[in-house]
Amino acid sequence: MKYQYLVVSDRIEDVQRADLVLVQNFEKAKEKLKKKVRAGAGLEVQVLQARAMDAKNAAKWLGQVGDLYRFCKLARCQLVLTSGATSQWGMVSGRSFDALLQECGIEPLRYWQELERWLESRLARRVTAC
Amino acid sequence: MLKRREKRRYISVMHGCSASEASAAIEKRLQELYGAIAAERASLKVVRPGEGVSVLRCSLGSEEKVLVAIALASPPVTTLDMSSSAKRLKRRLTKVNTALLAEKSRG
Repeated sequence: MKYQYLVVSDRIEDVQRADLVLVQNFEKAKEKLKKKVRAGAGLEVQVLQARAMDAKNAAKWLGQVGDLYRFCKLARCQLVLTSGATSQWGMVSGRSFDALLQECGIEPLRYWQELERWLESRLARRVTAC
Repeated sequence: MLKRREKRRYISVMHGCSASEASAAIEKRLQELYGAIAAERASLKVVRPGEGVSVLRCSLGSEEKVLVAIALASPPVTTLDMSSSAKRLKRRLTKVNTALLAEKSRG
């Protein structure tokens, strides 16, 4: 049986090896990403982070997601917005994702189409037989 | 003059805390992110409090803001469904519950 998988990391340094890298603070990681990122990489942002923030930082986070999306467009990589849920209550519904994307200045339909294309291309490379 | 009732949206949410805590968390986030005027215009209210799942009501036009507030609320709350009528939302929730119960009894 064949299984598809993605290599994920929470270290920006792994951006050249991993399929998906968690970006915790785009402002801080921007310079590193500019130097190291390659086309086709996935940059993950978790909603879980913003839940724990105060109002000012949560608003800042929304702005940073928009900035990261524009950076991804220039660097030809993919923004991946995830819930980062550790329990069933931490999950984020599709409608909420769409509302969040719109708030960040990202058109939801376009984002989902791009994500689907990116995921298919990444998964096509990573298949293992078990 | 004919006075029309304002249109509303009903949102079912899943929460680990009590319904009042969940509603307070959402309202607080809504006010923090969009301000007191937007929060007042949203007129958020718990119409059917429950253990684990509750139904909230907000005004039409502010549902996107409420959805953002739900996604960023702490303690975490998850949107399950949204409808323009409470009756339809209840019917859909019953369907989901029936399907889940059937799945549980099978597994």
